[in-house]
Amino acid sequence: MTTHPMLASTDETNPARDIYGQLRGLIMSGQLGANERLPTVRQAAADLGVSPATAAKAYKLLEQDGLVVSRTAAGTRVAASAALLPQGVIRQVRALAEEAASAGATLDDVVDVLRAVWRTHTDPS
Amino acid sequence: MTLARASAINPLELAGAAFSSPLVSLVGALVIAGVVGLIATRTGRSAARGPAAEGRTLRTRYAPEHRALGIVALATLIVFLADFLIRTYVSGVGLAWWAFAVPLACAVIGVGVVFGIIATHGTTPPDSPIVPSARRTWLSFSSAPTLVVAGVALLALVSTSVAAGVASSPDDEGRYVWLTIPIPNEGDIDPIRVPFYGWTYSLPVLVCLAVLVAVTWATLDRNAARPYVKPETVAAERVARRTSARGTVRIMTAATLLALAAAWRLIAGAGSISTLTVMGQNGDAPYDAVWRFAELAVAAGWCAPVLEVIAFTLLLLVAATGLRRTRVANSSPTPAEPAQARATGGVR
Repeated sequence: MTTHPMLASTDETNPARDIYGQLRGLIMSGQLGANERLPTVRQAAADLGVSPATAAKAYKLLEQDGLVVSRTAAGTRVAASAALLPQGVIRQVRALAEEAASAGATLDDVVDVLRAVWRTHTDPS
Repeated sequence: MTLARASAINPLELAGAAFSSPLVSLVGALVIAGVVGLIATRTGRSAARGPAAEGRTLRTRYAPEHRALGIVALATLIVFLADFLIRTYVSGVGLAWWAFAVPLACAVIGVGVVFGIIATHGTTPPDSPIVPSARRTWLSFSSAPTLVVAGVALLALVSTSVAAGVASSPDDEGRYVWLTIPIPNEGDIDPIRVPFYGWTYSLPVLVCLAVLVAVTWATLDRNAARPYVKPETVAAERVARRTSARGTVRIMTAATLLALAAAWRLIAGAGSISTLTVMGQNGDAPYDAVWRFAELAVAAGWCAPVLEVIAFTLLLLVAATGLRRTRVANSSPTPAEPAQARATGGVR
């Protein structure tokens, strides 16, 4: 289930590093899929209530770490080597979480059913 | 009425006559919208979700744009019908160059107002900044079937406008409002000229349509790009934004369908003309003259009321949703709302 982490004040003196840390956490924990497009710098800045320059700086730090790849026309994407799961799987997981939440299902029930379905589909017999 | 006379009435002709006016289409749409509304109420879809359950902040943010969408939908419907009634029964103007562009122009102004509300009142800095995990685009809050229907309607109107414009001919004043059907093998006889959806009517439609597409895209983009208020409200805000996006696309689709239906009604008239009688010639026997697309035109005429019913239904549904949400939004918050907000918050 994808959560929306608030911008923590772990490094109040450098908000760009703080944003970098949060996005890095999303990528490393598998919440962003391989080749998934990150929000535009403008959108990220608006969501976080910071200047576009600060958001751009955070993206630059991610790029330097090899976590994202920036191309002029394609925007900033999660590097395939950094992500845990492909983009398509992450999208399905998000859709599942949203549908389950709107239907009032609990996380434990969803995980139990997912395990059972997974075993059925991967069982060679 | 004798049995013979009653059996002489063709049911298809009767249906054609009944649906020759958009007012009858409106009655059909009212019935369909009523049934859809009843089903939605019984299944509880309309009341259980939405910003009304998420507290005063979200109601303040999203209620004005939902209310505006409802008003715009009603205004588009009323303006279209008023224009039709005034031109047909009151002023006797008949067809004016702007006649087909009226619903589109109304939708442009209305969606423009909604865009303004979203860009100003509906966009506020976040209370608690949220690290964005996915890019939000103009497609993010619209369902694929809704966009496909809108795309098909757009394509149909553009192709109809261009094709009819190319087929049209100018009158004495240079206005492209005629369809010229020549009499075969009779070069001396003037061709049949019938009123047609030519460039004079279709160009304003194409211009308004282009502006409407641009305004709709800008509204969907703005709706998606604005920041969320706080993590707890993300789920409810997504529902509210879907409502805004769905209403915007439905208004655009409905306006497009109304313009298309009006165009097809006029084009159908050209398909029904088939004979020309010139007194004193050919032994007073009629000359046969058939437009090569006559069958297509007649079929379009039959489809026009269906398009109107769909368009009116979409507008009525948007109006009902907007006004119903407004009524809920004006009610005082219940004590259960904060708990519900916590339960649904932070989940995508």
